[in-house]
Amino acid sequence: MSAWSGPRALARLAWRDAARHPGRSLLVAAVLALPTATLASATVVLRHADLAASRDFGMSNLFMLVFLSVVAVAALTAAAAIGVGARRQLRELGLLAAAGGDGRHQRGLVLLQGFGLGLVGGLAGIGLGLAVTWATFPLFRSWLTPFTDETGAVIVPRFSVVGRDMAWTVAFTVALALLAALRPAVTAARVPVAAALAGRRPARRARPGLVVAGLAVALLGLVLQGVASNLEARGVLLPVQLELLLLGTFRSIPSPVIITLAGVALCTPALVGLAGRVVPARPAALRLAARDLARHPGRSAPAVTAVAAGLGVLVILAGLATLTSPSSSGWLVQGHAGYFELEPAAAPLFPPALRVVLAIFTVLTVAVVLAVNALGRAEAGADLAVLEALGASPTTRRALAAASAWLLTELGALLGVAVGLSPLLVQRAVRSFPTPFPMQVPWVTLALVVGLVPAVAAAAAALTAGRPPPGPVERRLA
Amino acid sequence: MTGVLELDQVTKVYGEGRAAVRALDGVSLRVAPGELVAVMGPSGSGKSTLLNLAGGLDRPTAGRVVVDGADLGRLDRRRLAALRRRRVGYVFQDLNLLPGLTAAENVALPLELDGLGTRPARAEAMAALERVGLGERAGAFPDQLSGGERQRVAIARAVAGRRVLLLADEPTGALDSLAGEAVLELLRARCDEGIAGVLVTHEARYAAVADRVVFLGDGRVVDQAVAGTRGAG
Repeated sequence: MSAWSGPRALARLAWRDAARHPGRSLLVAAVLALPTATLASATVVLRHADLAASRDFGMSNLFMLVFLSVVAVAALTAAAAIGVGARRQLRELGLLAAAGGDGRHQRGLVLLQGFGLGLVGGLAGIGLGLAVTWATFPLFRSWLTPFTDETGAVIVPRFSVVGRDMAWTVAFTVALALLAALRPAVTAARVPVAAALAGRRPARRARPGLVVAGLAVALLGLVLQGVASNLEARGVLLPVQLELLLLGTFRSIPSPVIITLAGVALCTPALVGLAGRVVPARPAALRLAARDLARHPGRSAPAVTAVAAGLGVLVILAGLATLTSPSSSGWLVQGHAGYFELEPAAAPLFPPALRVVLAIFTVLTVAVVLAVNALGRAEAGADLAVLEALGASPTTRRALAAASAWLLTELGALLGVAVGLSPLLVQRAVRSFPTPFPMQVPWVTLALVVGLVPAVAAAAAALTAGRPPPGPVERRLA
Repeated sequence: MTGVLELDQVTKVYGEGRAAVRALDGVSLRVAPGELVAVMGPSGSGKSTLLNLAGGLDRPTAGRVVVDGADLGRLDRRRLAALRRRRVGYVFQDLNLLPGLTAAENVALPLELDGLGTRPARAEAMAALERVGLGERAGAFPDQLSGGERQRVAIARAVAGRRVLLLADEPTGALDSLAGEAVLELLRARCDEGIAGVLVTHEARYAAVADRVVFLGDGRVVDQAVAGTRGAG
């Protein structure tokens, strides 16, 4: 007997399955490569300057926010992709159980796939991140040069890579992938064997408790935003241990916004379910798309949240960028001695970097929507084949893809606007204190996020909706 | 003699309230070592449900299922899975094999999941494949095999190791008659070696290879016959 033969057999199965579905595997790996590239790049750049303790508090905040949201978008999209993979594998998981596999084996198979894809995505991300950082290092250098270390010596940043940092970065990506695979793994092992063999998914139970929990978490996020804004405005420093415990929530925007987003994420399954019920009967493509999203919350809910995360950050950044004149109080920066100093605000706050970030987030959002739509088409292969057999034209197929992309992006955009405006609402609510990062309502961006981005996603989906993947009907005919 | 498989007044109800469907209703059945029992009946008569319950893939609403002396109702999910790895073999109508594994790897999988080392598991798998005449195709993936070959691999997997019960759900459903007959001959041969078998089939001529035929209708046993004595179908 060997304790390793079971895991080895599962690893072989996981690897072969990933190799048999290269498109889906590449998608998950690419999605996971994004935050890795960001982290690898940041590690190389930040090696020369401790940004967290630096005077450039705004830049550090911006980085935190962008990084956390890229991580959120990647993890959510990966969760959707791994979930779709596990559901398409349902019969295989049933066969595994019929061959004597138990819940551990089924969970193990899905988690091993997540692990492998995390490893590949991590390595690819490091390659990508280092390449981009190397190419753009002169820009970083000009930004970093003014810093001096504690002895007063001027730091001349060099492009250098530390192996240990990169190993940690890959470990981070693997952990992210395992996290994304956790829910699909647990769900896969819960499906009764007979149902899995018949390719039947058990009906999802409505969970009203989830919405209540989601709203509570979102509220907690808002309260923390208020507290953070308040503390920061008054220049109160928390003990380091407490900062760590609060995940750095004192740093005004990033962490509390992510908590608000987590609350929203818990509500999205109910939201897509609601969309399936309230959508008008016509146009038919929209109705079909809404019903499809509602029937597959495991795919649509993380996707809607991913869009909300991307667009929410875009709204926040735009809200900060509309500032073109110094605020009444100027903005607070942390001095070297550890106390806050008042400094006249520069204008505008994040000019060139912001435009790049805006563009990146728009592209990221459209990419997420297209990826999720492709996953949806893969999952709905049988339905599309039936539609085809009933005589649906290619135009119908494109309309369906467009409607699905539009609905998904629009739901995400509306939630993103809510999340993105939350710091502003909190600032207005605690207005009695001067705030270090006063925001304005970015009307133009809001219009673009709610109107243009979903339209672009719909158009892109329509253009890329080629032939449907072969479903059971076609397979049997083949 | 005690049976390898014993079903005692087994009832299975799917759904609840007005949507409830009684798939099996008080069915009793015993299959002895070396015996092959065919189960026949129209669609929806409960044949597949019976097989799922016999293999521990599903649990009865009422009644008792005993396999190789183990009362399945008393086993938790993990022990049920272990029983499937060690004692029970399945053959389904189609899509029987994991597409990412070769024929030999598919046959070795239950043994490896059970902790048998890769090499001895592979040796057992090769022996089982040789017995169904597929030793030379051990390295082929399922989509490189014909329908008949795939079913023979499934039979090899179902009997590899120390199995005592072989459950086959329409194993000839996706095959032409020649390949179907070859598959049934293999099933019969495995049972002649001492394994107990249950064969669900629509076709009377295939049921003729069995020792006994049980007829199901609306979830109940409506008739039983020694194979070949009843001109069913």
